[in-house]
Amino acid sequence: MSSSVEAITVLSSDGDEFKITVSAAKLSKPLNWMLEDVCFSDDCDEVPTIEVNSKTLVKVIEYCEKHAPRANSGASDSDAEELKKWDIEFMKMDVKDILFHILMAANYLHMEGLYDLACQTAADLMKGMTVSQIRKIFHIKNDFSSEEQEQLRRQHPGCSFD
Amino acid sequence: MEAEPRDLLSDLPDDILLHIFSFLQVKDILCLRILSTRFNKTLCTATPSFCFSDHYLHPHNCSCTHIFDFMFNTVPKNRPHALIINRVSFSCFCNKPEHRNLHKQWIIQLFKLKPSMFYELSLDYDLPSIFTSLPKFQSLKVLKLNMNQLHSVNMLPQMKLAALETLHIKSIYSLNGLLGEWISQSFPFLKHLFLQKIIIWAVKPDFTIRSSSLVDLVIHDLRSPIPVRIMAQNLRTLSCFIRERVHEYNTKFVLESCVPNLQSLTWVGRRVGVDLETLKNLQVTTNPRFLITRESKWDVLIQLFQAIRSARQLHIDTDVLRQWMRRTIMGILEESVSLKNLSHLQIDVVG
Repeated sequence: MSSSVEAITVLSSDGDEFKITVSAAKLSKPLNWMLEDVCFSDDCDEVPTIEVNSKTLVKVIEYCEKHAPRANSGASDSDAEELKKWDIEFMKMDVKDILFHILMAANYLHMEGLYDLACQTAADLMKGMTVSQIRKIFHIKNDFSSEEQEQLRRQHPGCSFD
Repeated sequence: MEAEPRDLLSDLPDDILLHIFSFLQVKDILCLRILSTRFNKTLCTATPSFCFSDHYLHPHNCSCTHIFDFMFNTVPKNRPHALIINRVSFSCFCNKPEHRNLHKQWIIQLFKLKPSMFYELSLDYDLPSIFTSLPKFQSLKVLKLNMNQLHSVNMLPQMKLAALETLHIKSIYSLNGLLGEWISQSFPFLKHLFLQKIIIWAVKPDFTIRSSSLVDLVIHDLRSPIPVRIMAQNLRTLSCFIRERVHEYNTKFVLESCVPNLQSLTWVGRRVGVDLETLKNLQVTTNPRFLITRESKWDVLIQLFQAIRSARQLHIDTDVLRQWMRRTIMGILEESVSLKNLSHLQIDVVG
């Protein structure tokens, strides 16, 4: 029962309006379900709200629009290569705090590709780092007592701290 | 750019954190325990699990040695409550020929290594021989087995896992039809059973799941030429997702008086294939979106469903519409199943 519209309008949690094409919205399961229902038919003028802030939603929509053509038609290997490069660039632009909003949004919107990409990016930031480096990157507070800390150090002799 | 040094990583829910960890190598994951109590907890107490994924287990970046180190040095010292081996199979594990044999050994070693310390085991691995090792896992509460590809397996007829409460089985070919008996006899306290992509080969008149402890049962794509009989006194919810276009297997489910406490039935498939002759209390949860057919009645139902959605958005009272909807669903149910003895029926529409 999806209507013939080509783009839909959604609200961010900050109340801003965003346009997203139907083919791009299909990358998200909940949005796809909304499309199949009556949410976007002509006689319904209520704009659905997505619980994602505007700054994050811009990025999520950018990702969807880029990936939609391939997801809907299936593309050649060269396209896939190009898309991979684009993904890396896409994640590079992010400061850490928006990465976590994207993680939450991709999880909330059931977007597997973006979720994996964001998790991978977060994991890459931890890889090969020492404990204190990771704490610094992610602002993680060390809340162990010195005895606990010492015990954990002894249990994990292979881990580098500084 | 830098507003305030807020620790957003620690605010993430456990399942997202664990998914991030699944992109890391085992040695990196272990070091994360020392970061903060939050990480130590996620990795060791709250969701005590270790995930291995194949992302870093490919020939260009083989981490077999780390895994061996983890298995033989770290695990015995740290004793995880759960071991989740995630998305590992021979094809994607590591392509180095000399490592291939090691993988098999590693898995065998895993089962030798006091498997009684695991409460949860998820195995996404082509390893049909796991079934013969299962009796060693006496502490298991949750067991999830996905054979990746359809495999005919040998079930041990006289094994028992008394602690097991949740069982997921995916992609199994039950050649001798013993799967039902195996489930019925081996897990006396099983509460949740999830069967997916199961093919039964007929040698018996029916395929029976008999359990007095089972509370909910989900069947996702089970193909059986013989009737599936479910005898579970305490079964509360039954969900069946039956694939269409499988003409050679028209799986029929027989419930009759065997499930006196069934309260919720979710049926996703064109025809309701459940025999409910003597069922007294039934609560049907149905999602009309899954039930679209060419038949006109379903069209009415879908229109009603949409009308309710629109009415809700305009804050109009939907009671009358809902009653209509229930009556239509009732009509469809009556056509497909006989509900002679039903005294109480409640239909909830989700969507």
